[in-house]
Amino acid sequence: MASRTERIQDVLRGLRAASPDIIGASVVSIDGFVIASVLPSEIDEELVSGMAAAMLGVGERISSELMGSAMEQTYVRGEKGYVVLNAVGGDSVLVVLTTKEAKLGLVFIELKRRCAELSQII
Amino acid sequence: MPTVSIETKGCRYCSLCHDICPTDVFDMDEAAGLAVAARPSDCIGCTSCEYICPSRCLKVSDVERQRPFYRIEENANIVAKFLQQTPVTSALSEDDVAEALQDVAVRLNALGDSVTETMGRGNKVVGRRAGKLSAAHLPEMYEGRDLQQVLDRLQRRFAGSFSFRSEVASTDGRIGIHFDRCALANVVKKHGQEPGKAVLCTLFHEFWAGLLSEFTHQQYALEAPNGGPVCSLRLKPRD
Repeated sequence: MASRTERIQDVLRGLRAASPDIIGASVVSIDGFVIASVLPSEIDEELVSGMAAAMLGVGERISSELMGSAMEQTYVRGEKGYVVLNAVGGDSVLVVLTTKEAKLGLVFIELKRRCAELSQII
Repeated sequence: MPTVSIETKGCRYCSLCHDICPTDVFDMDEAAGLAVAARPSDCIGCTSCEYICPSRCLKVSDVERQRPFYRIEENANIVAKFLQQTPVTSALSEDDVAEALQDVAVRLNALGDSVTETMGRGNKVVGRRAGKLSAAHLPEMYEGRDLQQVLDRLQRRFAGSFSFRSEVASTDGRIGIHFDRCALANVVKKHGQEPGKAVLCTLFHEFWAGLLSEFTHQQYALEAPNGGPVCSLRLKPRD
């Protein structure tokens, strides 16, 4: 039977294969450790995981302070694409990198589906 | 004692070494057109002259790196001799020290609170990242060939600031670090927080996880620390 990390890795591969606009994805713990990742080799996984955990923390604070509710998702739009962070369970986050041309609606649907799968595993 | 040597062929009589030396080791020999290390016994090994020499003809050898430099009495005496000022430590009263501790405590606790208020649960990453970035400022640690050597070097490096003991479990590679009389414990107590569980303690412990991860190229996760009279933390290697 595949290990938990391998199963998470499979989900991430499936996510990346779902759309050519998804460049990479990673599951990160709230402590900033990479749980599994399918990021392009030129990206520093450790740095991404640290920043994602920090962003999850900030996102939670904003959501809680300004809206009095839990955070579900946050995203950053850059000149070259998007970084989407989606909470998975209570202690981890799914980070997805997409191109600028990505159809965000489709990405969000895919994210929702994959997050449900990941929640079962994590 | 440090040894100062000047390769005379390279010296261009620019006087930069003479101007920068804090203890006035150099004279300028006008007739020969050279800098001369006239009072080498006054050299404190700061290596400013070696660093600034544009001709790279000045070498300071037999230098023992002493950190924290100004807390060593011998060095404080040299500073007193050349600056003609008594080292500030002897001029401090107990009240001054208490006031300074109070001031530091307020600022550190405010820093810890603001990090947590902004970052929420992401605050641990800040501590760990700080450790990783600080590693670049301790290059001598990279010379340690294994984890125990790195820990021994860190122990010596921080000896003037705080003392700690450490051990590495042979079974699972967990590192135990035990801080004697941790200064942060007093700081967080002043803020009504429990040592070991306070935000500042978490940041400091994660700092150590980041520091050791960087030196050993092995990720370490922090396990629940114990903030008793001797603050103990354990770092668990991650796959």
